[in-house]
Amino acid sequence: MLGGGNMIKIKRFLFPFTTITLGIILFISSLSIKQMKSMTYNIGSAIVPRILSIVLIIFGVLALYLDVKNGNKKDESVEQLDKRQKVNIVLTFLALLAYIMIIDKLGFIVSSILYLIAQILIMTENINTKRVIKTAMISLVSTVVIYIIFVYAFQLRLPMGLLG
Amino acid sequence: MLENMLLGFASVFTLGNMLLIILGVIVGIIFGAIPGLNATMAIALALPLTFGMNPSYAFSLLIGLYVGGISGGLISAILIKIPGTPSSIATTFDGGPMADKGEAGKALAIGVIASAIGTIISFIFLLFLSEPIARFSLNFGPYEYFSVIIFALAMVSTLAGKSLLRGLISCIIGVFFAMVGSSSIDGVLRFTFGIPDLEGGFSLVPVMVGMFAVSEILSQVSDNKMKNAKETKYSMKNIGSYFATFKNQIVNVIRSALIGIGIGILPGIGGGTSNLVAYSVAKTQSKYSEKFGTGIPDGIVASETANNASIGGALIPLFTLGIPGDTVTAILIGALTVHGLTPGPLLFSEQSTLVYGIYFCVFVATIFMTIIELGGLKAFVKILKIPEKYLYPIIMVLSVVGAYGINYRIFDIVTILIFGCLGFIMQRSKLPTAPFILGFILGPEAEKYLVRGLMTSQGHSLEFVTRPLSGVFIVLAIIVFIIGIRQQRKQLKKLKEA
Repeated sequence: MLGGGNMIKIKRFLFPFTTITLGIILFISSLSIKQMKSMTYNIGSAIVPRILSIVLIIFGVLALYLDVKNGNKKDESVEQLDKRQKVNIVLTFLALLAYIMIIDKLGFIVSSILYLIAQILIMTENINTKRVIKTAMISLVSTVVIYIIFVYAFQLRLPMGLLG
Repeated sequence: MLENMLLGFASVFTLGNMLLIILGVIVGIIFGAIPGLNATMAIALALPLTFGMNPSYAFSLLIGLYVGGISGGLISAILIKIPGTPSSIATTFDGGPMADKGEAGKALAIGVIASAIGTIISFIFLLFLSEPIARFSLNFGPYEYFSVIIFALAMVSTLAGKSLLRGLISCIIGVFFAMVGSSSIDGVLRFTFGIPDLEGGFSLVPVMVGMFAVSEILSQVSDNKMKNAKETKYSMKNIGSYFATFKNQIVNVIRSALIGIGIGILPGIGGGTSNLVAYSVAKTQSKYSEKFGTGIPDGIVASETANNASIGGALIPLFTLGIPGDTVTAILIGALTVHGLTPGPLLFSEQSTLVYGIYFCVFVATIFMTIIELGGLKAFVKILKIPEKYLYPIIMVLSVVGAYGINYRIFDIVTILIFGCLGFIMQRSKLPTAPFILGFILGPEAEKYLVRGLMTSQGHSLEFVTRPLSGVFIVLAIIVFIIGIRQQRKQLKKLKEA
């Protein structure tokens, strides 16, 4: 029946649907914004969020209408990603996530070195032992240099963690 | 006024200021030259470093970065035909072909000189127009500020991308992210969804760094732009002869500079737009417009003069009204706040030496930029050769340092990741990021002025339109929208006919 067709439709119109959903979520959230009794003329922190979320919903509907009307041609200017690229993006995201999670515990230097090694290798096409060693050395040196420049020259603090 | 200018001029010539300007220019050029990095990012990363400095040093560094960053884009635009920053897109149109003809050195020299002239002309406007405009802004009440901001947001949303609707949606989403946390109106918590970390809201620098740096890394990982970039050899001999090229470029230079200054002054848009506008105007006005795109100096002159002229232009609304002239000055607002500088007429009466000192930094930075770029080009070209796989991860680490340095909150580092992903998703959904950023920065301001205005006029919103100045900007915003809608209809028609 229309089951398969509907799935395709949702994917094609992902952007307008997301916008509308976002608008609805934001509107509902804005309903719980407290109104301070001292504010005069009902003008407070809730008015702009409410109006804007409604505007967002309207724009989302408009986007949907325009997409339907104009046939929503596949966008050629945004290149489609192949499998390797998609894997790289996911790996990069995971590397960043891991970096953020350990930086507090292991400190800036250790975390940064580990992250740099990981990220550089993700972006390396052919990994061999020589390259891994080179990567490790570059990661080590850059991290230490950055640490020295920012902590000593610019007097900034960096997350310390266990090992600093 | 002249007396203050002289004092400001003298204040720049300390060793500390000079060194910081030079450092800023060098790093700025590097950021400008490397595609994917840009002046906005350089300044966002440098901002936390400046917190501990005195205001004079802070702005010496930041202005150096600004001038270097906008100018640096021409290096890669000409040598590898990839614009280093959006401000140099039009430079590739004639810079690339010139390089192909073996005239890369000439193209580079012309680009640098044009950049210098553009900055200096805009600097003169900045110098002499600021105080009068600041004094005029005494007429601005909350209604006027609100309307100017709406006008700014209208401009960015319309001109930023191909779709007006997506620009507006992007802008509104930016405003919402800025509203997370406690409201500046009455301290009430908004959109925190019960998460304590969100009560402080999102800080500007981590948001910026995330949207630019991290999303760029994610995008690089998926689409290596530099991979197939072929590098052109060049030689720069006899720089004096390149100056001679400018003899028949005078009209072009002045016109492009004025375009750059005008677009820079318009809130929200700057070098990224002015280089393209100046190029197309130069082409249409030229007697030999068919030669544009084949490698003639005119194209480079138009593009580079305009994009650098936007620097001075963008600084004008920043210092006089506190409204950014482009995305770089949007971040400079943060610098102003941290150092306790409030834009407006008071700034010019109480801190005039500092302000004029900052203006003269623009001039000094330009001189250094010219010398450094012409003399040190070989070094910059070498830097362009650093493989992205080393460069981007290191930039990422620097981003973490920068973000953490704002408030020493781990949450700010988390913010980078959040907005990095958001920026990447926006890129792939063809949502322009400039409206988002300006919505994020100006949204709360607009709200503040709206509420103040409504309270002053006791709930009557008509004041926003009946007060002449305010009304003018609202009308301008509406006109911008109408033009935007018309442009879109034209584009859709073209697509359908194709």
